[in-house]
Amino acid sequence: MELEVCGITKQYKDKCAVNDVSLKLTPGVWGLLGANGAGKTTLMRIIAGILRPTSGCVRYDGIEIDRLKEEYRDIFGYLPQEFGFYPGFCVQDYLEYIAALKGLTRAETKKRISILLKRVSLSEVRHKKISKLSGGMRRRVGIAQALLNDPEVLVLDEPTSGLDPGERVKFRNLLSEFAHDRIVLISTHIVSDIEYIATCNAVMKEGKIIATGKTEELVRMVEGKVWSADIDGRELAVYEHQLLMVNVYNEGNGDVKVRYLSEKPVIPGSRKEEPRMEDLYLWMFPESARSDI
Amino acid sequence: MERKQYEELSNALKIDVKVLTAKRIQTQKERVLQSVRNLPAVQIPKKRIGFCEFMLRQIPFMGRDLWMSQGFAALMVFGVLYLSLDGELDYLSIRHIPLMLGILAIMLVMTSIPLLLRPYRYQMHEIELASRQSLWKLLAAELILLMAEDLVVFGISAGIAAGIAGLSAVKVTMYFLLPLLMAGTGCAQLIRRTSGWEEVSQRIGLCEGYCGLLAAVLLLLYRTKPAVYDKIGAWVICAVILFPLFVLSIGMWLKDSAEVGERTGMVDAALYYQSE
Repeated sequence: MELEVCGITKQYKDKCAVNDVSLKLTPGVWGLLGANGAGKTTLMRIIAGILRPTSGCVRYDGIEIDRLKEEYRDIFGYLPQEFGFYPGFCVQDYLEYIAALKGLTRAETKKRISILLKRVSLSEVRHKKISKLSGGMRRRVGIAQALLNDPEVLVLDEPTSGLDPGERVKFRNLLSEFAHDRIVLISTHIVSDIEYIATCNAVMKEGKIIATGKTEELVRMVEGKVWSADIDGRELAVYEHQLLMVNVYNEGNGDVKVRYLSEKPVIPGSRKEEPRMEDLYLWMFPESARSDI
Repeated sequence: MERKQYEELSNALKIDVKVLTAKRIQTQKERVLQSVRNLPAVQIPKKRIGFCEFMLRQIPFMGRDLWMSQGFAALMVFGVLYLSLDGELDYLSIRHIPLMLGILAIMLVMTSIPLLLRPYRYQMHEIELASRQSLWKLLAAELILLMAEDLVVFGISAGIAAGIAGLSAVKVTMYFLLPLLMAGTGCAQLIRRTSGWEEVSQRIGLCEGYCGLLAAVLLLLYRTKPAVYDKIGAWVICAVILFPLFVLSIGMWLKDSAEVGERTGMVDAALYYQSE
């Protein structure tokens, strides 16, 4: 099983959203990491076969998805970033509706809905209107619909936005369990979503894939660039403007413990730290840290 | 059947290495892989429903609201006429029937528009597009069901109209069909041309406005030039001209619906900036 993205480019008039992207996805969880506007959603839509690329193609097991058509959509599960539901639909109606769209028989629909509702812990609310559910529950309904046809390829665009930490953990466990022998692609800008479950990651910036590899491999890129130091609280403002701060922890006695990124130690007494995925993200997207200051 | 698939693989495997270019290698590879995939020994049997069953399964989801609003629209037409004639249906003469049928046809189209645009309105279109049946088949199924419903409404209205006024089947059909084709073609074109508009309610409003305008024109003709309704030959010619346009518009709209709603570069860009 292999999903191959071959030289995909998507041009929108004056903006190149995806620029000559090539990827070879094999079974496992793949994390597509990138800041907002990096081109992740466009790439996801192209992989989903719902947006035509300007050039390049997507192949599933060596065959272009445009040729596979229904056959591809049959093994494909998709949760878009923005997904809605029709007013008046309860969870059961919604899943039955999607099951029909996915071509499932009535018997299979009944069986799959029952299994999936248990799996996403929504059996109790199956007859409740979706509009009355919490954001987290709605997301779980979205995940259940993507899994209805037991897909071989699952693409989730920003699946954890709006979920609380507990729900995020549940979601990660669910995906890890599901990912065995399947290709799962998760696009996100939330590092913790993929840090512990992704078999492989691709980092996207300005429409290009700038790095790919396992979490440990990618994290090695910032090895020797992550530092921590204890500073006086009054010095913080000075360093914040100079350095790329990953974390600032107020110790309560006027001292502040900072974690920062730099080629060389800048603050006297700095200690080298073990790099994490979050450090890599900020190293590659420094603007995302600075814009919040 | 099985033999045919093995023959297909056998043909795909007959490779002339001398003429292989990079492009041909890929085509050849895909042909072989596809032939292998089609082999019964390789294929994992998955039972999937066909279009007819899919269409029938849409009935509960098309919404009571739609049928209630269409039923309400039909009742309104009859109600207004009944009241305007002081309950004397005998006066529902040959002169009133064409207007009533025309307004009814337009109202049926008007009430269908929110249903046909609801995937965009409620952000369901991406999920629907990526499913096996895809959005265009969903829209096709809904259109067929709506047309079947229109046919039933037309049958009942035509029966009543013919019974009261003794009109010929051709006349009754034309008075209903021509406004229906005009409203349907116009709305399909408007939906296509406003593809990618952020506010779906504006698209719905535009279609409803167009239908309202058509109804007003019919009313104006009824008031000022009622003789137009007698020229049934002209109605037939118009319907004959409009029918292929109607089919073409619907076909183009369904084709456009096979991708995330964008037809023009401008819409492409709007969609990008909205989503990223």
